[in-house]
Amino acid sequence: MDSNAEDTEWIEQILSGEPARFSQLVERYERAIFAMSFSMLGNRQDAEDVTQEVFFTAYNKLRSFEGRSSLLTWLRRITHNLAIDLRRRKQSRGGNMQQVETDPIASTVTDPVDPLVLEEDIARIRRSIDALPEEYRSLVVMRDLEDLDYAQIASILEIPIGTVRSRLHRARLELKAILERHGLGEKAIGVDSGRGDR
Amino acid sequence: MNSLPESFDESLLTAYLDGELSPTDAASVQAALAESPALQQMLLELTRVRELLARLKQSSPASERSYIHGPWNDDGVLLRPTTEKQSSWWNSPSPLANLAASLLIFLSFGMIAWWSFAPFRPIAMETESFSESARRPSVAPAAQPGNQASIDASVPGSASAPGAFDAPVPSAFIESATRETTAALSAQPESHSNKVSSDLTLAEKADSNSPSMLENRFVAFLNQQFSKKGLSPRVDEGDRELNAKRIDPGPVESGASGAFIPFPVEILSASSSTQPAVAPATPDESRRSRSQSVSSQSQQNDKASDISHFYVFQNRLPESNGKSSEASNGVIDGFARNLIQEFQTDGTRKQVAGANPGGRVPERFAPAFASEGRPYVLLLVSDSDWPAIVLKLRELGFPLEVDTAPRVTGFEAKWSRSETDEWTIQRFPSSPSDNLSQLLAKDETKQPAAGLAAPRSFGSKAQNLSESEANSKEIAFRRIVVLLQKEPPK
Repeated sequence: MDSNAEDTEWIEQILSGEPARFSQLVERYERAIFAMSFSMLGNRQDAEDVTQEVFFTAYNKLRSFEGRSSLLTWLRRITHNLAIDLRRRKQSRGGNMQQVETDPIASTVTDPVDPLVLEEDIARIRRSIDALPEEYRSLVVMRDLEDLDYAQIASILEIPIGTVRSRLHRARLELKAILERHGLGEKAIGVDSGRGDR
Repeated sequence: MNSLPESFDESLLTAYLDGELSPTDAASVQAALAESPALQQMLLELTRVRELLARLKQSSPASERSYIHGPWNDDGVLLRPTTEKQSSWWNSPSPLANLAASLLIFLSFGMIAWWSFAPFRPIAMETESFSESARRPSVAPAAQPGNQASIDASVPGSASAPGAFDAPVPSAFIESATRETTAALSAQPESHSNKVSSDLTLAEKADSNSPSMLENRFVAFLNQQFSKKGLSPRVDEGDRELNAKRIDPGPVESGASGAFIPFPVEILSASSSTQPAVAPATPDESRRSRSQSVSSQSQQNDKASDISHFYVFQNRLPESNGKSSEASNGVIDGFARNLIQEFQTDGTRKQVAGANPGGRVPERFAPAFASEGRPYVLLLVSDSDWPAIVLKLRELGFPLEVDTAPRVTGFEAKWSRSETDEWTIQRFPSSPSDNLSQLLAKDETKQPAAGLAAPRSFGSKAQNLSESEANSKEIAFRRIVVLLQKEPPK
């Protein structure tokens, strides 16, 4: 049985009074949801908050899930909305969304030659993404960090695939300009393109 | 940069880079690229932006393994849920099973080696696959603690699993070794002889080994809810110390400076649909009416019927505190009753309420308990029910603090019926927490220490537990400690 069919079966069981399946759904998808939350928010605390909120919301609204998309897509849509809400709340409170976390272990592994420089670069890349307008940032995160295809992104954002394409293109051009302003233009985009390549 | 072709849709370059174009469109993009150096430059820059983003992706915590149970596909979907019951002997993580498996493998190899050199062995048996495969490593790579890669590779369903261990070893042994090593890495159960284990230790384990990170977030989440309501949850020093390790404590108040929130017993009893509302005991009528409406609404929604296992344990405060203690015990009685009634819409549900007389509280709450006698309710909820329980706690809107411990795995409770028609828990032999065992031990439940109040319990409420169910249950539980605020002494 594929995961979608199994999800549908589990949801039916949950709704018919067999809630044990819910924890299985959580186990199945919490990693994906946490990863997306982290990509969108850039720090672990917020990502964990949003991940928890996603599953509470999903549990509360499971009856409203119509199955037009996959459960994972539905969860990602909730994640996207909650992450944006959180960012807006923080920004309205004057919070700093620029706090960037990287995984030091992963960072040192990805570039053993110069891990400190790489970590700094990663922080600047993250800040550049954070500086994007909301509609662009979501697209970059979903496509380039979460590896979702255009159809999945279109389904999550409920926009046409053509809009995904054109908006993503503008997002990357905008990101390129911001990266250059953050000092990553010449070094990484222009001159130093080979570093970190595989 | 040369000018871009006017009629060309630039966004096709992005789609081309992402492999999202049809062959026809891709061919047209390639043709345009061949003619336009400006397009080539743009494609190069877009490619480099993607490469930079790839670095960020590599640094994301997706590689973190603390809460990963098994193999995942590209969508992050767990391929092989690990929640199935482990009933076979080779699935039990006992050293004896390990020894038996190793011995059998050793003997198997010995037999094979002996057979290989035996003079009467038929030549027809001299096949490469038989003798060579017997010399290959079998369970050893997966059985080495810390070798996560080899574990992943050995779990059925993993992309790299086929052929990883193709020695002629019974699959049950491989599965056993894999399960045990995975369990050892993910659970690391405490030694039951370690009597000094603390909740803090458990919390630290939860951080690093818990199967779910969600359980660590309840406190922060509920505090957030309080903030939305304009309330000010109080967090004691024990909380602060713990939170420093587990979560961002946020703007907390500590010690005696914390603001108490009135928590009259009447609110609790009034929220029950079976009891009439009681006249207000405090000026906070608006909050009471809100809790009443929330309560009745939640009963209409009947989320409670989803709850399958819900055990309530109360602490009891020493009578030496006089009226203050009586009032606090009333608070906790009311809260426990309220919760039980909220979740008592389904007659088949199992629920047991017990009392924990006097003072034996989880260590993290000990300071507040000792200095203030703050009442708490300990909930054991089945692993699948925690979202509903927490939602219910949220709906109730009462000032409380919630602490969730790591999943209590291997839970085994035996229940017995006393002369007073009261179900009590006899033992928790598999509990990873000695504190929890002590907290809920039979002696403590039924024989309060001298000078402490006799336990009051909800014996009649426990009758939903059938005789057969009472014999032995093995359920994964979450422990939730609800630390209640109480009305300040006047």
